[in-house]
Formats: sequence, C-alpha cells, structure tokens
Amino acid sequence: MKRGLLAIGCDSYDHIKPLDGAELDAKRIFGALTDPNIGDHDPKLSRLLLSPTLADVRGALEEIIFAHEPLDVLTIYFAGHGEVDASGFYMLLKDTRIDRLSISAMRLGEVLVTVVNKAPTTTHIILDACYSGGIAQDMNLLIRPETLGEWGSPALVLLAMASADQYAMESDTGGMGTNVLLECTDGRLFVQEHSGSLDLFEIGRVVSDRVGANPEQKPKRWALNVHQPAAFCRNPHFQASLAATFKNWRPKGFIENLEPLLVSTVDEPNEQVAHVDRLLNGLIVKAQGSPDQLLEPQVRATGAVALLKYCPTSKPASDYVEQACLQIAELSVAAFSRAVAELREEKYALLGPRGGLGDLYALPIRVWRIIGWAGAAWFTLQSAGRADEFAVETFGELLDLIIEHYSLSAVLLAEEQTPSIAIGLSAAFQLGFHDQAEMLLSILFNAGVEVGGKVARTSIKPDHIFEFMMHRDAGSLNEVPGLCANPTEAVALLLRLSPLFDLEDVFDAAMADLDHLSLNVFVASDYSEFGADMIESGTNHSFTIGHGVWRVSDLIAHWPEAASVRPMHLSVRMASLYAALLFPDRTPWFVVPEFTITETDAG
Amino acid sequence: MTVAHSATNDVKPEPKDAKARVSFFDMAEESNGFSSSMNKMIAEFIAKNAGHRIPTANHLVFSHGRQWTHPAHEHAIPGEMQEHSAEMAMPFADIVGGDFKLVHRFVLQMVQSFNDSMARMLYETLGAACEQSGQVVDGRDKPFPDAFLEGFKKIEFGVDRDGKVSMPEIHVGNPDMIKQLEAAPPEFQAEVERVKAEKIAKALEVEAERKKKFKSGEAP
Repeated sequence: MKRGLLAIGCDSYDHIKPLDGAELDAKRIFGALTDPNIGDHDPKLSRLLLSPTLADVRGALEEIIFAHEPLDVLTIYFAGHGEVDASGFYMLLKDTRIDRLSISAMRLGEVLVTVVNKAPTTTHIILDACYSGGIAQDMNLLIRPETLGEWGSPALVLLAMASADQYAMESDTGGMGTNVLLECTDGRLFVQEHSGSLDLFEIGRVVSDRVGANPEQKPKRWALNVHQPAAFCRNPHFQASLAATFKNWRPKGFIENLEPLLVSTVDEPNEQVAHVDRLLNGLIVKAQGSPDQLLEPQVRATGAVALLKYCPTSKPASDYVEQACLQIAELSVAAFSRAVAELREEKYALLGPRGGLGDLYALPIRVWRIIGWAGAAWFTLQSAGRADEFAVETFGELLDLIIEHYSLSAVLLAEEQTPSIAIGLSAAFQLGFHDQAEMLLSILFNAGVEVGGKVARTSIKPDHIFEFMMHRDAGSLNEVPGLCANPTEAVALLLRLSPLFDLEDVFDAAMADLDHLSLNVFVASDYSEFGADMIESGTNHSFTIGHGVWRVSDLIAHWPEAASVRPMHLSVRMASLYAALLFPDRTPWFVVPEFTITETDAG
Repeated sequence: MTVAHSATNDVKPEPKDAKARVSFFDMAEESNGFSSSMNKMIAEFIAKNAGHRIPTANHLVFSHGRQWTHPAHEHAIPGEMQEHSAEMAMPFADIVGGDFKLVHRFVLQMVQSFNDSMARMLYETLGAACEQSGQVVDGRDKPFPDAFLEGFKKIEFGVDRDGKVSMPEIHVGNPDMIKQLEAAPPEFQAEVERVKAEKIAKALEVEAERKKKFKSGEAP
C-alpha cells in the first residue's frame, strides 16, 4: 500500500510574526507517521518542509501526487499561522503577505483541487493552525456528484485543531492538538482496541475531547465519502489487547467453558448456535488482526468442534458447522497461499516469530500443521464441490517449497504431527502429488527409524521439550519413557501410508530397527464425539513390531476395517478433521486413501 | 487402566435450616496449588511402584477408548479399562490441631491403597490368562518344590530388547514357600538348573527365529 505524507511546519515568516513550535511539531509528525511501527507512511513518498515558501509547498505537493503511481493514502499536515476569509482557509507560509493572501498563501481549496485531480484512495488533512475550522467552506469543492458515492471513489478526512474563529494553542512541548494526536498514535492515549489500525476520524474524537475541554479551542473534524475505515496509523493498543486475549486462549478451555451453556440450550438449537456465534465473534475480530495467519481458522474451528457432538441431531448445528468449515477452508487456502508467497521471497519464512533454538522442535510440527490444514481445506472444499484449481496448484507448490527448503526439518518428532500427516499426505495422494508425498513420507520415516520410532507424547509439557530433544540427540530416549508416546499412532500411520507411495519394501528393510515398538490405531465408533477431551466409544487396536508385525504387509493384513468407515454426516466429516488438527491426540483414519469405502451411520 | 483418588473432610451434618456456608478469605490459589502438588507426588509414587512390577517401557498410555485389542497377536487377550479409586477422610480436628504429619500419612495411605488395588488386578488378570491358556499347576497334593518345578517346565523365557534372556520372577504369597525351595535337595536344584539352561537355549533359538522374520533378517 502506497502511503505518502507532506508535513509542513512554519516558524519563520518574512512579513508576519514568527512562531516557536510549528517546525518541531511537523518534525514530530513526520517522524511518527513515517515510522513503520506507527504511521507506516513511505519515507520515499513523503516530504518534510520547514518554513517553506509557497513555491516550495506547490513543488512538493506536485512531486508527491504526480511523480508516482496514485497513492492509496495521502496525509497532509500543516502547523503554522492560518487565516480564513470569504474564499476559504489559507495556510500562511514563509513568504506570505497577510494583505495578499490569494497570491502569497496556500489556499486549502487549491490543495483539495490538486488532490482530486489524481486522487489517492484516502486523503487525511490535519491543520494545527489558528482559524483552521474555516476549512468547511473549501469542502464545497469536493462535493461533486460525479466523484462521490461510488465504491472506491476518493475519501477525505479532515481534522482542524481550532474552530474558524479560534486560536490554536501551544504548550512548551508543542501544539496542543498535535500533542494529543501524537499521544494517540504512540498509545499513550487510548482510542480503541478492537482494530489493528486507527483512522483519523476516531483519533479526532479523542483530540476533540481532550483539547476541546478548553472552551477557547474546539477542534473540528469531517469525514467525507468514507466507505471503509482507512488506516491512519497502527493501533498500539490492539497488539497488547490481542496478546492478552490469546495469551491463555486454548481451544480446549474454550470448549470446556462453553459446554455447560450448550447443554443448557440443547432443546433450543437455534439459540445454541447463536451462543457459539456470539462468543466467537469478538475473538474472530481480534484474530483477524493477528500476524498468525492460522489463528482465525483455529478460532473458527473451535466453534465448529464445540458443536460437533450436536450435529447428528440438530440441523441448525449441522448447518452452522458446515458453513463454518467451508469458511475455515477458504481462510486456510488464503493462509497457505500466503505461506507460498512468503516462501518464494524468503526461504526462512516458516521460522517462528520468536526465533531461537526452540524452533528445532517447533518447526517440524509447524511445517506439518501447515500441510495438515492445507489438506483439510482441500478435503472440506472438495466434499462441497468447491475445490478450485488455484488451491490445488498452490498446495502442490507448498509441498515443493517445503521439500526444497525444509527437507531436513519436516521430520517426525512428535505424536501430535500424526493427524496433520494423515490429512496432508492423504490429500497429496488424492491430488496426484505422489512424488512430493513419497519424498515427505521418506523424510518422516527415516527420522523416526533413527530413534527407534520414539516420538514426543502429545501431552508432553513445554518445559520437558528441551529434555526430550537432548535425549533424542543423544540417542537415549529409552531413559525417558515418560516423555515418549507409547504406543505410537505416528509410526503406525507412516507404515500404513507406505504402500500408497510404493515405499513398502523400503520400510520393510528398516523394520528391525523398530523392533518391540508398540503401535496403536484408535478408531472412534462415533465421530460426533471426536471433539471430546477423552473419546469414550471406540477401540484401541494395538500392535507390536517384531511380535506379529515384521513387515508392512503384516500390519495391513490386520488393519481394523472400522478405520475406513467415514462419518455419514457431512458436517461431522468436516469438523472431525478440524477436531483432530486442534486436538492432535486423535487421527481421522477415514481420510487415508483406500479406506474411504464404506459409508455407515457412524456419526 | 485409569486411576483416581479423592479425599473428604468429615463434615458435620448440618441441620436443614442451616445457613449457606460463608468463607473468610478463600485463598483458592494456595489451596489448589497445595492439592495439585500433593496429587502429583501421589501419582509419581504410584507410577514408581507400578514400575517395580511391570517395566516402565511396557507401560502403555491410551488417550481414548475403554478397550483394546491386539489384531496381529493371536494369543493376546482383548482388554478393557478398569478404574481404581481410593478414598480417605481427613479429620477437621487434625487440621485445626496443626498435625503436619497428616500429609505424610495421607500420601502413604493413598499410595498403599492404590498399590493394593493394582496388585490385586495384576494377579487376577495373570491368573485369568493362565487359566485360559492352561498354564496352571495343581499343587494341592504335592510338595511345593515339585509343583514349582512342574510350573517352571511349563513356562517359556523371554528375551529383552537388548537380546538378553530375562529370567522369570517368582511372586509368592507365603514366605515359607521360598524356604521350602531353598531347603530342597541338591538333585532338585540341579534339575532346576538343567531346565533353566534348556529354557535359555530355547528362548535364544525362538528369538533368532523371530528376528529372521524381519526383511533385514533374511538369509542373503
């Protein structure tokens, strides 16, 4: 987004009494608004003019507006003397003569006409000058039916720090209005916390409240033709609010807290769905401002999983869950498309925001989560007949980029990777990305074999991860059985997938290295229970390598038939995938190819 | 297998028209923190004791479901979760009396209660499995050493993950049985040693055959 700024501060006047703080105010505004963490205006598209002449201002304005492609946002700030007459408001500049305003001062109307000629999507004008409220009459220039009202036509927000008949006051630290404005941009003053950015109109409200407490200076603000909020600066309170909201937010806790409410409204299914919707809405708005591209899909998935158990018996719940899952899928497609775009630019894009050695553990899990959510998106959209070519191509490119840049970190490390691997590689198989899936499966299996198939258990506590990794590196995971999954579904899955990619013989050759490893395949008998903390109904099918299972074919021969039974209800089928991705101690075995044969009423 | 425990205070029965109980400084964080630390300690003791009977490497943890099967193991018996619980009362008077030893007593009794319950389940399960497979010796009309030898001949030795033959463990309910074994004549000991050597050789042979079933164990 192209954001330009013209900041003018005029202290020195050839023919008028000089001022003290206008240049400083302009410098402070320029500094704040070109700071990428505050105003994020592009310094290359911005100019700071200190005590300029009329020609200087005209030249700078022309350069900013006409020397580049149309701007998305243009902000014009003026601090200095102001004057108003019958023709409108004037910004007084270094060479202005008070008796010749029309030819020696910058009339706001001229600025507006210039802006309209090559209109930025949004123009902000801030005037910290005496009589600046006199700009109202200049706005007639903009009120033209042919340029207003249509979607995308230019929007204008004006903030004048004084009324048409008032002085703009100064303190030792700068103009009163400019001080408050800057306090809003850097977070010292609270504006709102529900959005990632602040617009000038809402900042103007705070400026009016604060500065306007003095009856001798009443700021004025106007918004013209504003279709949607236009970011003036980042909202420092939003990030803090976002962090506070999601610091202790866990899907499991949310569902547990929601459950009593859902139980109490079980006889009013519409009300039940409305509860979930209402409670999620606030979180969704905040999640939309998060840099984590998969936070919003996770929040929405939590709502779908909370209603999962009601889907077979409640049409409103089933309809809501279906719609929610489709929305989650579309958001996931956008997220993994973004991941692809970032990876094209920067091969380390998947490293965590905190960096550090912790990514040795987190990265393999993160990589597979991305593949898993991408796979779930495809399954969801495909089951509704909405999987598009773009999503498929992007999924293939995602796999290519991961193999290219992360082949050494897409390894098997933790049991919680199991559902992501199941969903991701099953989707890859069905979409014909066999080479990529074969490569990824080999990477996973080789890493697993290196440590005898031992992976971190799903309930491992964060402060035990370091210990697990140290033992894994030292080859001494036998010494910490409490940190390892026993039995493991992850290795059972890899073995089960191997025939799909002709890796059976290769895996067979390494089976002796997994001797005595206990495998498990938990098959739920009712997938509407798949969001429960503990799924009661279902059977653990246990295997031990070297005791009944020496080759992949031994496992396949005894593979439970029930594993291929998929849920009959579309909503249950969709939400089960997201339940497994949110709570990765369960695997939706029905997605694994060649097992989606029978359709029964299991959920 | 799931475990649970609970503790109750001996709350005096209140008359029907009693007022709802009020409190004076809840101190929930301190109280909950104390309980969770104590529960963690109890769980660790229970796990440690369980490890004495069954090697920790053989402890399986299931997240879901109440039953399990072993589809590839024809002799294995499907199982089902059993719940273990223990309950103790903590007299108000002991708490008011500042009896700090109450914590030790509570933890030890709770652990003991679970141990007893789990041991009972273990031997009952083993007993049922032996009955089902016919691995049972009737020792009613013979001296214990003879019954022991008969049983010893019926069992097969296993080989552990490191390739070492693991000797069977002897669990007896009456210490006199051990004394009877120790007092048995040298011929008995020699016969035990002979059978043992035979069983070790057989176990290694079975283990070698088992390993050959891996693709990598095939003869070139």
